[in-house]
Amino acid sequence: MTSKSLIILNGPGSFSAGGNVSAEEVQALCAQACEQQGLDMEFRIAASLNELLDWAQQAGDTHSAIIVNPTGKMAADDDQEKLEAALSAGNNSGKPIVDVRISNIFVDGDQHPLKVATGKTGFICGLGAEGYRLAIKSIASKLEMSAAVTS
Amino acid sequence: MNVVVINGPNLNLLGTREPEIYGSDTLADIAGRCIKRGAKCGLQVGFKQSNHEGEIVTWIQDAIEDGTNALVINAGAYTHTSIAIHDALRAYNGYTVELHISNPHNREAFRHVSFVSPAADAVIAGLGIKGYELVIEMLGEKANKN
Repeated sequence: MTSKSLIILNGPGSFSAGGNVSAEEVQALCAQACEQQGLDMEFRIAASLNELLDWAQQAGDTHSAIIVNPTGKMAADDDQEKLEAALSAGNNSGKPIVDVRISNIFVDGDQHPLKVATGKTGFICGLGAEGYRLAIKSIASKLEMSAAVTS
Repeated sequence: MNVVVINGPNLNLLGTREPEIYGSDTLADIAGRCIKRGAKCGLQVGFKQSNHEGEIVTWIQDAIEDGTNALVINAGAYTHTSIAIHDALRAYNGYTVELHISNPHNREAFRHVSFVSPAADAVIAGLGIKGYELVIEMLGEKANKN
C-alpha cells in the first residue's frame, strides 16, 4: 500500500501576531490529525504570494490532496484569481482540495471561497483551528473511497 | 447537549436526484448515521427535512424556545433566497453551522450568495454527505471540551 500524502498550504501572514490561532498550534493539530488518519503531512506557510503560487501549481503532482488557507497578505480578488489558476493548472487529475479559513469570512467581509476549475473543492470556515481537523478527516475519507473504487 | 439538523427543499430526494452531485445515500441513511454518531459522543440529535420555508423558520424558532444547543442547517436552495431564515437564525443564540453537500461557490452564480452564512458561526461545504457526520463529531468534541 502506498502512503497517501497531504500538503497544507497557508498564505503569507496567515497566522499573524494578534490572531486567534498560532501557526504552531495549527501545525501540531494537523500533525496529530494526519497521524490518526494515516496520512503523510507537509505543512507550509508561504513567505510571499509568488511562493504560494509555485507550491499550489506543484501540489497536484506531488501530493494526494491539498488543504489551502489563502488568507493573510493577499489581495482579496486579484491574488485569489492567480491562486485559483495555479491550483487548477497543477491539478489535472482532480485531487481533493479543501479551502480552510479560520474565521467566518461571510461575517468579516471581503473574502470569497476559492473557485478551482479542476477537482472538487471543499470549503470550511469559522471553526478556528478545528477547521483543519475536519478538512483532514474529510480528505482521509475521500481518499479511502477513491482507493476502494480503483482497487 | 442537543443538536437539531434542519434540511431544506429537495433534500428528501437524496439518493435519486443528481446522484453524481449528491451521492446515492438517502436522507434517512444520513439521519441514522448522525443520530448514532451523536449518541456515541453524548449528543442528542434531531433530524428534520421540509420543503416549506415557513416550516423551517418555525423549527428555528422552536430551537430558540426549547434551548437547543446547536443547529446544523442545510437550507438547500432557500440558502440563496430566504431572508426569513436569515432573520430566524439571527434571533437564535445557540451555535449554528451552515452545511452543504456540494460547494455552492463552485456551482452556478445564482448559488454564490448565501443569506445563511452571515447568520451562522461556521460554514462547511463540498465535503459530500460525509460532512453531516463530521459536523456531528466536531460538535461532540466541542461539547466534551467545555
